[in-house]
Amino acid sequence: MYIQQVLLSIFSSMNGQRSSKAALHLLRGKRSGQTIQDVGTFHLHKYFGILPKLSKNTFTDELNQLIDAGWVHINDGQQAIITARGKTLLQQSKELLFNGWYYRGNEHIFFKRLSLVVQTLSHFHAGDYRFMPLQKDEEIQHFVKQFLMGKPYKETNFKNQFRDELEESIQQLPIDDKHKLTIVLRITGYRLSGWTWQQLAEEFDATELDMQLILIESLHIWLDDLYAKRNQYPFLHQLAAGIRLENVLNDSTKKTADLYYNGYTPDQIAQVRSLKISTIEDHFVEMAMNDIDFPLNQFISEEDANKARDVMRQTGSKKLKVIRESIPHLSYFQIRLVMAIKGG
Amino acid sequence: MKLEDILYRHFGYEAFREGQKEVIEAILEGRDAVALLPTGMGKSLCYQLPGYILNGPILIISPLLSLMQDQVDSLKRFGEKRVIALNSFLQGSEKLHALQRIATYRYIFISPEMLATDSIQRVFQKIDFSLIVVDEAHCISQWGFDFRPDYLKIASWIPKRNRPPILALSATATEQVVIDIKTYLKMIHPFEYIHSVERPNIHYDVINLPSVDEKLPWIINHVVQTEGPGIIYTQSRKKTLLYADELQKKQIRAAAYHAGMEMEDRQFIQQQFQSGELEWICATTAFGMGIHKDNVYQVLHDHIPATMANYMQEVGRAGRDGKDALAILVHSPKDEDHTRFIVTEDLPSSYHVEVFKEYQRLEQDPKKMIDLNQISETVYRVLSYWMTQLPAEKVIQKLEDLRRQKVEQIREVANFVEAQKCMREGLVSYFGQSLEEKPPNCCHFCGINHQDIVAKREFHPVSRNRPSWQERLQALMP
Repeated sequence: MYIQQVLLSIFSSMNGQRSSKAALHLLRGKRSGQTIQDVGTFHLHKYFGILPKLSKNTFTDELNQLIDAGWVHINDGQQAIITARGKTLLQQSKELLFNGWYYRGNEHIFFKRLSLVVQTLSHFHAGDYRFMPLQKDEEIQHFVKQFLMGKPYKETNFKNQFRDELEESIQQLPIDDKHKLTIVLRITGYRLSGWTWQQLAEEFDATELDMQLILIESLHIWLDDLYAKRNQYPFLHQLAAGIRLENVLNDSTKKTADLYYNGYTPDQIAQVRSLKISTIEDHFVEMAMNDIDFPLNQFISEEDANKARDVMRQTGSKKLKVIRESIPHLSYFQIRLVMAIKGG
Repeated sequence: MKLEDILYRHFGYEAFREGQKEVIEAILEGRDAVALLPTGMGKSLCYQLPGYILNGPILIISPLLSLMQDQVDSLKRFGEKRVIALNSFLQGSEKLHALQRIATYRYIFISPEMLATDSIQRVFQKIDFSLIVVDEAHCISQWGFDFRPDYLKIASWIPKRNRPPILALSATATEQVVIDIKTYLKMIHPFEYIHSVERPNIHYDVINLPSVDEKLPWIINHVVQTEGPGIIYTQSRKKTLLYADELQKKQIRAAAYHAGMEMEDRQFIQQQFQSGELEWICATTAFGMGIHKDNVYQVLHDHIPATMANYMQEVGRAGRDGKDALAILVHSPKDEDHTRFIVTEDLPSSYHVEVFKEYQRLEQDPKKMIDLNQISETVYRVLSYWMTQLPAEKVIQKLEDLRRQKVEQIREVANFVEAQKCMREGLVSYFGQSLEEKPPNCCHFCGINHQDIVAKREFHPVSRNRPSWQERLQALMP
């Protein structure tokens, strides 16, 4: 159900202008120019990379279920089109609050840190100082050690303080109790095992994938909240350190951006970096998507940009070709920038 | 200081378990040693304890990352900080830092792949190890059930100068495997401790059914009638789910376990089984390592295991506390073919050899085969090892031999299952030991009555009541 809502929402945004496979790339967080551009064009930031390991089979199965249910149909161009019934369903559903673009799987690191802190405090409280940590990752262990060091972590007072902060923070999140319970059931304590995805799915009469999505969405909402309220939940805020991507440009794009802001033209950058101009253009599209101050008008006049926007509005199309046919003097690159620009 | 004092001070145990002290004493005398101790009998202590007596780091060569991590964790639990696992997860500055101070560690764990690298070899040649441990040493033998080509090279990496004693550890090995271990590791008059494979409290049965389709209903019915806790071993991930699902429908607390599950989920299952929240585990052979549960009273197989050693290890998880336990193998006529199909699928074919050769001829990395899905990673490892050891025609011959051996090993298990003779005797003599006496309810052939071994199942309500999230949080941190 959850995954189906995610897919419906993506197909609805893409509005039949991309093949259904584009949704798979999006969910997996594929770092290709096309997928990144789709994120900007259709405002799909929230779903980017939320399921890096989604298999093609699972995706196809879910898609087929949508088709069988009459919420989506596939046209000749392999594009998934949302039906009227699908639209109604989507409007009736609660809005999904993923924030994939800024977390990109890092939410799991936050959760692992939290889980190890709780497991540690739980065992220490029971006087068990030799427990097996659930988290085997040395980086997580190291982080948690640093976090606990300098705090009176063996004291009951500290454990209570931490638990109260955790409870208050979860309490005020705008998510269902079922989702809150899912969070805490994935955590282990002294003589208290976590629940497997299968067990959670059975308990809540959902699929394992849906339960995983519930956790991911809850963590995104939680992290957004923690970042917004820095001082209110000091311990949790510490555990969330470095989880949100502050600089969302990929490394290569960042190099291009640095050169550009140092006065190099796109052609010069391509030369200096020995990259194809098309690659450099991908970088600019990514920059346009992320940088509020991106100087669009150095690439296209305001007048032409407005023309392009008008065509998009009138035809309802975000296909490059359609726009190019109406305004032939614009390059594909210019049109892509207009579509990508933040807030555009 | 007495060994017992060291045992208590560092590990908190009052007494040694069978075999441990003898092995440790041999090592301390500077002798090589081969120790065959069943899993869960404290194999690791045989090298852990000498760490507090010998001078210089102890090198432990271990085949599996998960196993390595398990041992590192367990040492850390006992407050040992000078322990490190050198594996592919260790990267960049962290690795550099570790290598710079490598001689200060007490225990160094390493995989055979890592050991083979030049950078490690350069560093290791300068270290005076006090002991070299080869864990899961049966992996060195083609006759072992888990042959790893990399293991054959271990001997060539062992320092020539001031060679420390070598300790080879394994849970199960036949006479032939022990000979291979001693030969390939070039051991000198090693001390041998071989734990008896006879487990008088395990009772062996075979249930013969006319067709495969009758297995599942038989097993489900059996589980419903009798008390656990128990493990059902099966061959595919799909079947683990099927069994678990059927049992859950009968109100039995069961779960599936296979290597395709997330690591955390697997740990949750282990914890729940250990604590008794789960009564039955439906698993592939992936289940078992790192399980320390004494009160497993049933192990069921719905197939013929690939080797006698596999069977031994899996049924050996029952009755660790010495109480009576039941091992049932549910059998139907085509079982041997089925196992043969699964096992030989894991071997490279002559086609793979040809493709490999072609890449070499084109001066390309044959590893591409993995990326192009022409071969699985495990199969590739075996292939690339032999391709560097032998000319291509010989490799094809070698693979043919391996295939024959595997088929032969399966034949041995099938013989054991189908033979009209005492299963206990068959098992013990397979491992080159002899049986002194038979317990009552010995086995399928000697006569066995399930009711004498496991009790009739009483009704256990499935009482997983859903807490509120606040209650759960409170329980986690009371």
